[in-house]
Amino acid sequence: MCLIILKINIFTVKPWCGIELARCAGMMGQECFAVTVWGGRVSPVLDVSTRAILLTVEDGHLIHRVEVKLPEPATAKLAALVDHGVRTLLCGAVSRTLAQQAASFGLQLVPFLAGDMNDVIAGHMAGRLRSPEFAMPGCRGRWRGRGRGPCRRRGHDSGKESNHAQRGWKGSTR
Amino acid sequence: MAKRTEPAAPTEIILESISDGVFTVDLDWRITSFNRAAEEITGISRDEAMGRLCSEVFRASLCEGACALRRTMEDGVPVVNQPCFIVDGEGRRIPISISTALLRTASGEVVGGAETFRDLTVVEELRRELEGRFQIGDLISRSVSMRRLFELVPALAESDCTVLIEGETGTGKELLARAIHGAGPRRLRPFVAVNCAAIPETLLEAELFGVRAGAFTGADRDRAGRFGAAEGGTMLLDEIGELSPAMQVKLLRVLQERAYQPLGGAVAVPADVRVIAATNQDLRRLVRDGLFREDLFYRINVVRLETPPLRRRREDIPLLADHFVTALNCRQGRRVTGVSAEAMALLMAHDWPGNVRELENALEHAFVVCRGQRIEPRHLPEPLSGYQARPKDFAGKIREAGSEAILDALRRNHNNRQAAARDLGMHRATFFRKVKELGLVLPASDGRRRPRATTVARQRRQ
Repeated sequence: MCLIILKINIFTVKPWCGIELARCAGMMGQECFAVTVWGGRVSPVLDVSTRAILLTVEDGHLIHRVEVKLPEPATAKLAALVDHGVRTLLCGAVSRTLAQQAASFGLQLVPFLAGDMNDVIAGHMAGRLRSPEFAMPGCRGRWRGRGRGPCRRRGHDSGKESNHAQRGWKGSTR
Repeated sequence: MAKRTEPAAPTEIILESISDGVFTVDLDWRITSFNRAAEEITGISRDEAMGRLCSEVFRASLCEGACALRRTMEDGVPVVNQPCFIVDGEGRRIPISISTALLRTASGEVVGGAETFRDLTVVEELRRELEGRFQIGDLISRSVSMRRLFELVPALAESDCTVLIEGETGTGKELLARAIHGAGPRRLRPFVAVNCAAIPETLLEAELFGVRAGAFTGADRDRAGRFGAAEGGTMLLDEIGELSPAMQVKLLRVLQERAYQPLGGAVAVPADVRVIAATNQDLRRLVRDGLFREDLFYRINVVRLETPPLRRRREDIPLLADHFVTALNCRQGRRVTGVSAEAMALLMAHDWPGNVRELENALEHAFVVCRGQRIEPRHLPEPLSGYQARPKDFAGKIREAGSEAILDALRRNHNNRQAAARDLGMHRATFFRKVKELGLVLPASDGRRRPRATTVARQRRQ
C-alpha cells in the first residue's frame, strides 16, 4: 500500500528529544497511533524499544508520520507517547508490568505483533491485524486452537483493538 | 517392509537432552535449529520458531541494542554468561544468561551463530533467600520496617478495603499498591494509576469518569475514563491530597455509591474497582487546615500504610544498589560487577531526599559515566561524588544500621531479648553475639516481667 504523507501544519509543535515533533491534536475524526520499530520491523520487545513511528490518520488517510527516539526508562516511553496524543500503540512483546502501566496511562496496546513496519501500519489501517501474518511466533493459538496467555489476540476492528492488559493475563505466576 | 527411521545424530541427542536452550541462526538471523529446552523456556514450539527472525522468537532485552550474537559475529569473540531477560508469551520476564559461538564451515567460513541460554529464575529465587532479603512484587528490602509491610500485603490483597499509603516521594508507594493488587484476586484485571496532581483540574473529571458523546464541542464519541479502564481491577489515586474540593466531593460519592457518572452522562455506571490512595502529604494536617474533607479522609483511611524513607532503612542501600546494577546490566548488555567500597560509602552517607528513585537515578548516571566494570566515587553524580567519606565510614554506617535494628526490636518487645531475637529472625546466641560485636549496652530490665501501665506510658512518651 502506498502511504501518502502530507505535511499539514495544523498541530501544535513541541520539542521532544531534540526533535521538533508534531503533536496529534486528536481533532474530530482523527486517530493517533504509534508503532515501535527497529530495523524496518516492529521492535521485538516494547520494554526496551528505542524508536517509534507516530502516525495520524483522518478519514482513512495517513496525514502525518514521524519517527522519534523514545526516552528511558520504559514508563517514560509510555508517558511521552501519551503526552503527544497517541492513543493506540502497536508493538512487539511486552511484559505484564508494562502492559498494566500502559493501561494506567489510558494507552491501548496491540502487542505481540511482528513484521515489516509499513505492512503492520497498513494492516492496522485496514483492520487486518488479526491475520496470522502479523502474529509473533507462539502467538497464533487462536488459529491453531492452542492459544495460551495474553499474546492471543481476540480480534481487531479498526480503532477498537482490545487492550491487552484489560483482558487480563492467564496462566500461573512463575 | 516397515520403514526404518534414521537414528538421530549424537549432537542432536545431546542438544535435546540438556536443560539449556540452544538455537542457531543463519546469516540472515533466521532460526535454523531450536532445541527442546529452548521450546520450554521460551514457550515457543520448534515448528513456530524455525525460519523466523531470532529477535522475534527470543524477545530478549539485548536484541535491539546489545545483541550478544551480533557482537560475536562482528568481532569473532564469544560472549559468556551475559545476563539479560526475555519476555514470554504470557508477559513474564524470565531472567537468563546467554553465551554465544560462531558456526563455521570446515574451511573456516562463518555461516551463522549459535546461542545458548539458561533460565535463571530458580537461581534468582535462591539468591534472594540466601541474602535474607524480602521481596514482594518489585519491592525489595531486608529491613524490619519493610518486612512488616510485606507481611500485611497478603491479607490486604484478599480484602477489598480501601488502603491509604503515605510516604515521601520515591519510597515505593506505587510499587506497594501494585504488590497488593498483584497478590489478590484482582491481579488478572487492570491496575490503573492516576496522578491527581498531574492532570489539570478542568480535565480530571473527564479523565477519571469518561465522557459521553456530545458532552461538549469536539466530543464526538464516548470515551471511557480511568475508572472504566480499571473495571474489575485496582485504581491507585496518587497525590490524592492535591484534589480540589469539588473533585473530593465527586470522589467521595463514587466511593460511597460504588458508581460514577461520565461527563455528559445521565446514568450512573457501576464501578467494580478497588481503590488505593497514596500521598506524600500529611492528610490529617490537611483535614485540620480545611484543605481535605474529613469524610473523604475517613472513607479512604480504612487501612493506613507508611513506606519508610530510605534514610531510615540504610541497610537496604547495598541490596538496592545491587538490584539496580543487575537490572542495568540486563538492559544495557553491560558487565558491571558492582559498586566499589568507596562508592558504597558515599551511597550510605547520603540522605536520599528522593529516596529509592534518586538512588536508581544515581546508578543510571554512574552507568553512563563508568566505562569499566566497577562503579567508583567519580562516576556518581553531584553531590554524592563530593562527599569526603573514608572507607571506614562504610563499616560505620553498617554498624549504625545494625544497632538501630537491634534497639528498635528491643523497644518493640519491651526489652525482652528472646522476643527481640525472634523478631529479627535470628537465634538468641546470634543476637547476643551481635550485641557484643556492636558494643551495645542493653537496658537493665530484661522484659520478662509484664510492664506496668506507667512503664508503657513512659516508653510511649519516649
